[in-house]
Amino acid sequence: MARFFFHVRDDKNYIQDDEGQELPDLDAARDEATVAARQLLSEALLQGNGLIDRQFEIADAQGVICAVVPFRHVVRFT
Amino acid sequence: MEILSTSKNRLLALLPGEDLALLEANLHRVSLPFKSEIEAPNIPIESCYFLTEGIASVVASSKNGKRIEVGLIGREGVTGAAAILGSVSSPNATFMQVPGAGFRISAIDLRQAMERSRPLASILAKFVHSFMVQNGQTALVNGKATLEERLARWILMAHDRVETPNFSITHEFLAVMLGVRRPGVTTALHDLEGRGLIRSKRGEVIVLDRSGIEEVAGWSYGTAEAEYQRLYGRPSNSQSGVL
Repeated sequence: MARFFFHVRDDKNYIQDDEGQELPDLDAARDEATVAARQLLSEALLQGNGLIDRQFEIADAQGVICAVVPFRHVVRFT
Repeated sequence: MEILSTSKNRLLALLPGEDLALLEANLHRVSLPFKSEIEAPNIPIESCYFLTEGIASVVASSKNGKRIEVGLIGREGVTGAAAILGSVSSPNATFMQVPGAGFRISAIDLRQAMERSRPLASILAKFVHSFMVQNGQTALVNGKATLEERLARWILMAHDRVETPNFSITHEFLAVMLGVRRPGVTTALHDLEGRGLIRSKRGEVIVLDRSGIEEVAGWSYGTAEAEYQRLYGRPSNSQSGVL
């Protein structure tokens, strides 16, 4: 297990996650960010709000950004 | 001295002196740190806790690891609804999510005291009813309210149960309470913070504008609290909340 931090960035704000969470590895952290982004987008979608183009920046325990998950990449149209 | 501190729990404070005296020898003052386990799923419930500070969370879970909070209890109540109703255990888990303190009593001693004291049995039965109303409201809100409404409701419910405008809470637990993945909690808190309603610091939420939070929570907050007030009246000594 390792601790990952999920900071959030959009064009106006940078929201620091100073708590973090324990996950098995970076793939699990990417999955966590993907599901969280889908939940936030679906909330906005149901309310008829515009979808804010945010991204999760996943940092490891040393503060190094090791993955970026843009919200736009978690939506698929077929 | 003892009477002064038991009166910090609203249910104990409502008991007539002779009925409280029945309980007092079996009430043990305990401090309840963050994450203290009060009840584990399907394990016999040994003790019930009349809280005087802090918040206990009742969490339902599934075999495949899904969890969601179904109710919370502070100084307005007592843990162990299943034991009070005569069940040995419950599939729900109960643990302290805001550290505090309270009075522990064995489930057996509490049941015996209920048999000897009608006022105690009545006060506890009404509490279990009010808690079931809260559980029902939580189901309604989890099915029908937005994430922002649910977060605002939860902050109000926590604020009702603490003495101060600030309380400690981790995003990990907030995620369980709100039924979302933890990284989403950061954003939801930030959105309320951006409107000047709360401040969210490391592991802590500070209520800045309660009526503003009530506006955000809207219909999702208040029914369970009104039912509690109908049963027990409004507290005389509450500083922040309505319970």
